[in-house]
Amino acid sequence: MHAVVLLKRVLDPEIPQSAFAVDPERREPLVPRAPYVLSVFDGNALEVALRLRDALGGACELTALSFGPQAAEEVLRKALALQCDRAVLVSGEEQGLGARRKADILAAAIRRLPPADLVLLGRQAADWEAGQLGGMLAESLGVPCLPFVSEVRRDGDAFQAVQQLEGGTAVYRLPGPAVLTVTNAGGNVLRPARIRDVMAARGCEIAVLALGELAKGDGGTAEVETTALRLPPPRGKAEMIDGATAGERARSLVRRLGELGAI
Amino acid sequence: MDFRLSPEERLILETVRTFVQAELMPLEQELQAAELEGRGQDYPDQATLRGLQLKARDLGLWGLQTPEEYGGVGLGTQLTVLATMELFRCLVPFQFGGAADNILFACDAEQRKEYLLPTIEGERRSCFALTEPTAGSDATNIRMQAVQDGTDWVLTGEKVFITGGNEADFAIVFAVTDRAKGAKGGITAFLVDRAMGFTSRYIPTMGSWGPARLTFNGVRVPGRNVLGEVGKGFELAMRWIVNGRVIIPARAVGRSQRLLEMGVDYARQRVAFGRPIGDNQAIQWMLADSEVEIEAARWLTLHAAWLQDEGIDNRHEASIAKLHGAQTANRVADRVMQIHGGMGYTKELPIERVLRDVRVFRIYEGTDEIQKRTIARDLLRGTHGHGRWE
Repeated sequence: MHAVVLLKRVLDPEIPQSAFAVDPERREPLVPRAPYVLSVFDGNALEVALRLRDALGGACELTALSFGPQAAEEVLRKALALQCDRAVLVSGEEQGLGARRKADILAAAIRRLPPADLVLLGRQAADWEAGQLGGMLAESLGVPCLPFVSEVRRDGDAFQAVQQLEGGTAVYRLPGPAVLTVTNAGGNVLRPARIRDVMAARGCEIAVLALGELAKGDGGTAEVETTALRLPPPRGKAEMIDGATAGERARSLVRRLGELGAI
Repeated sequence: MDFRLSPEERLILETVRTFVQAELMPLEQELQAAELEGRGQDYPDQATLRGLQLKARDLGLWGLQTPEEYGGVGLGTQLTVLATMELFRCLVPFQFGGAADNILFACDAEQRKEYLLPTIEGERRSCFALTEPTAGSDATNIRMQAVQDGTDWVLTGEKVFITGGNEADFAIVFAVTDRAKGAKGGITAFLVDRAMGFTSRYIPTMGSWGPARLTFNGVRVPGRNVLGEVGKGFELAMRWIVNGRVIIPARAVGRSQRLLEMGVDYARQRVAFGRPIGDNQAIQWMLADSEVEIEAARWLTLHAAWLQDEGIDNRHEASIAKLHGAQTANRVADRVMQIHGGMGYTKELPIERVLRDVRVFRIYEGTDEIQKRTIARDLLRGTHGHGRWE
């Protein structure tokens, strides 16, 4: 079987708020001197795929696919170090494109690969948090989409997927091909790469598909337009609770909450 | 000149960071509790350490400097230094397994099976025994005697401040085999099993470094236990020491970095006279000085490590890195304690322990003064000091 995992390189969401700013004119973030990282839910998606492969004793080909500038290769290097069989970069600027266009482009890239039984991606990217790509990609590919998945197993010639719901889980059986959007649950944090595998993956090639080859015309679809972008104004007044030890701080906190009538 | 790490290097460091964060950082609280009860010295115990080393091994964090044919990952000095900086941000004493003293790779085929391989596997423990009560910085003046008797050698003398000397089941011992030749052909390295008859005694110190005194009263060592060649021991000793002069500043950088982070956090949080103490220039200068010194130490260390990887004689640069790294850790620890005031002096926080621990950085494996001597001699001889880059 063959699974494709979509990996997006995003600005590190862990950077302090003070290091982040947006350009209101261009309606995009000002790129700070911050490292880019793999979007965290995409990391969960890759982990789910790796666990599926582990459970199948390796009988599952994994392709890592990313769309972005040349520098996005770094997330693919990580996928190769985690022993994905193939890495493909759709090379081009994806910022500014709507989810509809991105879905069409990625679907075109996926069609160039060996037929995929599953396409996995994070439930939303850690930069824009739009959460639209999974559903639209499924539509572009003409396959069903199951969102908020935390775990996948092979079940005969089909798959069994666990979906996270508010306060519970649902288990689905699906034949594939399908698109699964993955959420973080069940400890599916992306494993670190083993040092030896990092070294072994050093020479692995990353196939590059030019954006122009995949994006024919404008797709003729309406897109959501960003009309304004600004940081939220600082909210209310923050108070720091002082104290040298945890116990002292806890006592101060309780006293302060009492004064405010909160408890 | 490119200061960026390659994607592979970043991934390797990410793996180190993940391990440290997931496995070691959670032990810091227990270490602090143990310290409060006066048993910090023994924390974590050997079994815990071994378990952690095996966990790290699953990730390939095993034998960072050990060549691949011996089961290590052979990262090279630069990456080992970067990994060490990352590891020493955590205050829990830990070292990755799969390592052996670099000079044990001079073992012959038989010795490899008996000493090198079991040491890499962690089945045997070594110690490096050069320093003596009357020969520390002037290691060329060691007196430990090795007298040939048939095919055996008989060793008599004392070694002090031997790291790991209490736990080791064999020692790499440097002894005089030809007094007339001295360090130039008269010192030989021996692999001496504890079972051959040396004894050890623990030396309590002001920090968590607990070295040993080793006593050799006519210890009989078979001729096949000579490491390398007879008379070539001093060269081996220097090779071991130079490696340490790059690793110790890396440890110093890791520790200092962590302390500075604590200092910054506290300067932001602690309010005095109605504002965070970080608003005061006196505190800001302590933070700024620390940052500058740590950054300098980081790059000095990386440069010395890069030279080592390139196979270029790095003794001068390693001395600079070791001197500056060791001094930086001490100054930063002192400043961060000052920023924390009374709290910093208590055993509720780890600062006082780090302050005691980093003091030895300026003493072992070449004191500050020995590093300065090396640096100054190179200048006076004209071999360095032209500001030339390789």
